Amino acid sequence: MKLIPQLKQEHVEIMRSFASIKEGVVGGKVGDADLIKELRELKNTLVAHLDLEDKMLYSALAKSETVEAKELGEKYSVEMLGISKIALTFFEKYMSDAIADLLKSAEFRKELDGVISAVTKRVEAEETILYPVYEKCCEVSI
Amino acid sequence: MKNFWFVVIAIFLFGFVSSAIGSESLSSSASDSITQRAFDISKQIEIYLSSNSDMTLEDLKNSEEFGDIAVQTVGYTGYTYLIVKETGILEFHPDSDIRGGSYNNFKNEFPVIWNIIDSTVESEPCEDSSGFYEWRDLENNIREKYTYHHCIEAQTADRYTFFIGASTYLDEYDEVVSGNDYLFYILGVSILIIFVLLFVLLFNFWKGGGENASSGEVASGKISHKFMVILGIIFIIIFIIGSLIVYFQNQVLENQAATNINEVQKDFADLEESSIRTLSAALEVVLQDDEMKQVYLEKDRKKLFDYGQPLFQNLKDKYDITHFYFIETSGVNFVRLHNEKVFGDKINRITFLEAKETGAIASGIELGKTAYALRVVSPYYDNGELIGYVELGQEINQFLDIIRGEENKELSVLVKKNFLDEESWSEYSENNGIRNNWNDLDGYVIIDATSEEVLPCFSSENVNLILNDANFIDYSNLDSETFACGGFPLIDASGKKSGVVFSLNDVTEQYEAMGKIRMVIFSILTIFSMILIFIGLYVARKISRPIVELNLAAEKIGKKNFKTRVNIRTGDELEVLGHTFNETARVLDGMDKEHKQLEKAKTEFLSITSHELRSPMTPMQAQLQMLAGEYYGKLNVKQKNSLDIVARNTKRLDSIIVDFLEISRIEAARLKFRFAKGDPAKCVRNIASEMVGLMPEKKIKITTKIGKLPVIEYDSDRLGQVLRNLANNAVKFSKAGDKVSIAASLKGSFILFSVTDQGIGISAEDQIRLFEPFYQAEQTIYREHQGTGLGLAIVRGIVESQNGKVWIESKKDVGTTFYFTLPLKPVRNIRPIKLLFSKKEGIDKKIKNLFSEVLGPMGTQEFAGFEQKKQLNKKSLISYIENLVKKGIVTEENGEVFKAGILGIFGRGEMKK
Repeated sequence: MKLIPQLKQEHVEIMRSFASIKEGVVGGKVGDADLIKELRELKNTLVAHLDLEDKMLYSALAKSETVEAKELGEKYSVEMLGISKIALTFFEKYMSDAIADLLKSAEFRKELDGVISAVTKRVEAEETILYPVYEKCCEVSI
Repeated sequence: MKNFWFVVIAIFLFGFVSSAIGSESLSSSASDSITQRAFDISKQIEIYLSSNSDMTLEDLKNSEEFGDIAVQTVGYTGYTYLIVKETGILEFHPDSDIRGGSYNNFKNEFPVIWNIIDSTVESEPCEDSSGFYEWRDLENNIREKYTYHHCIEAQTADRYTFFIGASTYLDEYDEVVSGNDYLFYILGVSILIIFVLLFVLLFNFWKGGGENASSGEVASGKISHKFMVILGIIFIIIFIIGSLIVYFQNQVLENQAATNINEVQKDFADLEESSIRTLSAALEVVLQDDEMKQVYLEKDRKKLFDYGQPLFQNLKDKYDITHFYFIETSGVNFVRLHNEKVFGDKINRITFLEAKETGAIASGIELGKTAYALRVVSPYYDNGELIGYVELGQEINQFLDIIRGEENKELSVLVKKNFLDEESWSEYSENNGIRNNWNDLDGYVIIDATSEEVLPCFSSENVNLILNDANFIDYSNLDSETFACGGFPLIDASGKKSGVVFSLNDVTEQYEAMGKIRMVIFSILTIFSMILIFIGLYVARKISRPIVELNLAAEKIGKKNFKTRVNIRTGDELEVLGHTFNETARVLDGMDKEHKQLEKAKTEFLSITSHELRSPMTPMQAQLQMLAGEYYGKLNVKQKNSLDIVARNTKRLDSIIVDFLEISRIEAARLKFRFAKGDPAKCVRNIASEMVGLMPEKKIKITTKIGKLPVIEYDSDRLGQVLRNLANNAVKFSKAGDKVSIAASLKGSFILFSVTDQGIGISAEDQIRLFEPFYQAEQTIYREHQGTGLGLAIVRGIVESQNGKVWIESKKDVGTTFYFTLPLKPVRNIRPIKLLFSKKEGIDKKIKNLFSEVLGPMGTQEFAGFEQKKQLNKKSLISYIENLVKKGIVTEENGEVFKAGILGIFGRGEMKK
C-alpha cells in the first residue's frame, strides 16, 4: 500500500470534481441535487486527502533526517493550511445556499475559480516537488 | 374505365366495318367482272352470227362451235347461257336437264334469280338486267351470287334474238379479301383475348395486389409503378392494335389493287381469246369467199386490193380489225388491204411461220416494228391446194380502251427500246397520235397507253418486278391523284415476256379515306392515351399516397420518432391501416417514454449509488493508510496482515466503484474531459514507462513504436486511462518474457494507437463481446487476474465519446492487438454511449438484417440455422458466404457486399480457429 499513488489518484479525483462543478455551473447543465452532491463529495475527498497528507506525509517529512526534506515539509504544511482554509471556507459559505442563487452569483464563480487555481497550483507543486522528495527520503512499504 | 371500353368497342367496330367496306368494294369489282364477261361473250356471238347470217336457230343448236361460244365459264363454277327472247326457252345451257326448258317453268322453281331476269324477258326493246342473290352450293352452303343478262343485238337467219346470262359466286373473285376477313376475325379474337387477360390481371391486381405486396414494395412505392407499367402496357397494346388495323387496312387496299390488276390481266386474256375468235370468224368468212379467192388467184394486186376493201372496211368498222394480209406461199406479202403501198416484203412472224408449218390456223400477240397486234393466220386453199395465207390482225390498243372502259383506271404498255426501231416508232407514233416520246423513260418506251401520263412507277426496276410476276408494285402520285401501280407481263406468240402492261388504278378516294381513318384511329388513341395517363396518375396517386405516407411514418418510427402519426382519410382499408398504425405508434411512444424513464432511473441509480459508495472510500483509504503507516500506533504481524487484506479489498472495491462511476458518466454523457494541447507521444511513453514496473516478475519487455505525431488538443488523462487499461491487460495476459508493444501513428484525420501482446489470443466469439461490461473472455484467466470486467467497456466508452473506434485483432496462441483511434480534433459535445446493454443482441440483429438484405426471405431461415447451431462467428459466416458464391447461389458482387458487411460487424482481424 503506497501513499504517493493514492495521493496522486486523489488529486485526479479532486481536479476532476472541480472541473465537473465548474462545467456544470458555467454551462448551466447541472441540477441542484447533483451540484450539492458534488460539492459535498469534493469537500469530503479534500478533507480526507488533507488529513492523509497531514498525518502521513508531513509527519513523515517532519521526522526526516534530511533537513531539506524537513524544511520542505514544513513549508508545504503551512501553505496547505492556508489553502485548506480558503477551500473549506468556500465550501462552508456556498453549500448551504440555494443552487439557483449560486449559479447566478458572480461571486461564487469568482471564488470557485480562485479555489481551483490555488488547488491546481498546489497539486502541481506537490506532484513535481514534494512527492518525489517524500518518495526519496521517507517512503516505506506498508 | 368507360372510355377504355368505348375505345375497345370502337376499335372492334372499326375493324369489322373496315372489313365490310373492303368486302363491299371487292364485291363490286367481282360483279363488274361478271358483267364484262357477259359483254365479251355477247360480242363473240354477234361476230359469229354476223359471219353466219344464214344459220337458223336450229342450225345454231346443232353447231358445236356456236355452243362453245354461247356456253363459257364465268369465274370458277359459273357459266353463260342463252335464252331466246321471243320464246323464253333456255336453248343454250350447260345442264342438259335445263337446256330446252321454259323460262316460265324455272321462274316458279327458282324465283330469286328469275325475278331478276324478268325485267329483261319482259322489256321491249330488250333491256339488260342484273342482281345479287343467295344460292345454296353443292356443299349446302349459302353463298352470294351475281347475275347479269345482256341483250345480244344480232339475230339468227330465222330472226330469233338472244339474251345472254352470266352468273357465278362473288367470292370466286375476292379470295384475297376473304383471307383478310379471316385475318380480321383472328385479330378481333386476339384483341378480345388480350383484353380479357388484361382485365383479369387488373382485376386481380386491384383485388389482391395490396395483400400480396411486401413491405419492401410498399417502401419503394412500387405499387404505383406497377400500376403505371400496366397502364403503359395497355397503352402500347392499344397502339399496336391500332397500327395493326392500319396495316391490315393498307393490306386490304393493296390486295384490292392486286385483285384489280389480276382482273385487268384476266380481261386482257379474255379479250385476246374473244378477239382470236372474232378474227377467226372473220377469217373464215374470207376463206369462204370464192370470189375473193378467184381474184387472189389472178394475182392482180390492185384488183385484189379494190375487191377486198369493202370487206376490210366492214370488218374494221364492226370488229376493229386493223390488219388484213394476203401472203404468198413463199411468205412474201402480196397485199396489205390496210396499206396498199407496202407489199413484197418477207413475212417472218411467229404466227405466219406456225401456220405455214402446221397447215392450220395460228394466232397470237406479236410485236411489230411499232406496236403490238393480235394476229390470226390461216393457210389459203383452193380445192385442197395451198395458194397462200390470209392474216387478220387487231392492234392491242383497242384492248386497253375496252378494259379501261369508264372506270378510273389507266393502262400503259411498255416495251424494251432495243425491240423497236426509234425512227419507225417515232413516225408511227406521230401518225397515230401517240403522245408519249421515245425518251420518256430509260430503257423502255410506252408504245400504247390510255393516258399520256408518265408515272414515277414506270421504272426499269418495276418493269423487272412485273416481268417476274409481281403484280402490285406501289402507290404512285401524280398531281393530287394517287394510283395503285402494278401490271403484268405481256406474253407474245412465241411465249416470251417481251413487254409489260402497267395498270394504274386511281385509288385517290380510298387512299384519302384510309388517311382519314388513320387520323381518326390515332386521334382516338391519343385522346384515349391522355385519358389513360390522367386516370393512371390519379389512381396511382390515390393508391400510393397513403402508402408513401405510411412508409415515411414507419421510417420515422424506425428512427425512434414515436410521436409520428399519419392522417389517412381514404375511407377504405388504408384508413383502417392508418388508424392501426397510429395506435401502434401511440403504444410505442408510451413504451419509449417508459423505457427512457427506466434508463434515466437506471443511470441515476447507478450514478447515485456509485457516488454514495465512492464518497466514503477516500476517507476509508486515508484511514487505512494511517493505520498501516502506524500513525495510530505500532501493529503486530497479525494486525498488519489483517490490515493488508482489508486494504487490498478496499482498493479493489474502490476500483470497481470508480469503474461504475465511469460507466455511469459515459452512459449519461457526463464523462469529463480536460483538453489541453500536447504531444500524445509523451503520454504513450509515460504509460510504457509505467508498465515497466507492473508485474516485474514476468520480465515483460515493453516497447514503443511511435510515428511522427502532431501536437493536438486532447485529454492526456483519458488517453492514459485507455492506454493503461489496454497495456495492463496485455501485461497481465502475457507469459513471462513476452513482449508488449505500444504503437501510435498518424492516419489522416486521426491517430491510430495499438497495444500488442504475445498472449494466448482471443476467440472470434469472445472478440464480439469483449467490450461488453462484465464479459469474461476466459473465466480462469479472468479469475486469476481479478479484473472488474468493466475496463474494456470503459475503454470503448472513452474512445467512442471522442468519435474514435476500438477493435481487436487476435490469433490463437500468437497474440492480440487492440486498436483504437483518436480524432485530431477533440469532441467537446459528449454523446451518451450505451455500455450496460448487451452488444451481442445488436450484432445479431445486424447479421440478421444483412442476411435478409442479401438473401431476401431465405436469409431469415438461414440466419435462424446459424443462430440455432451457435455459429454466428466471423469464420463460419465468411466460409458460408464463400460457399454460396462458389455454388452460384449468390453473385460474386453480392458475395463481396455480404462479406464486407460481416467484416464490418466483426472487424477485419484474423479469425480464431
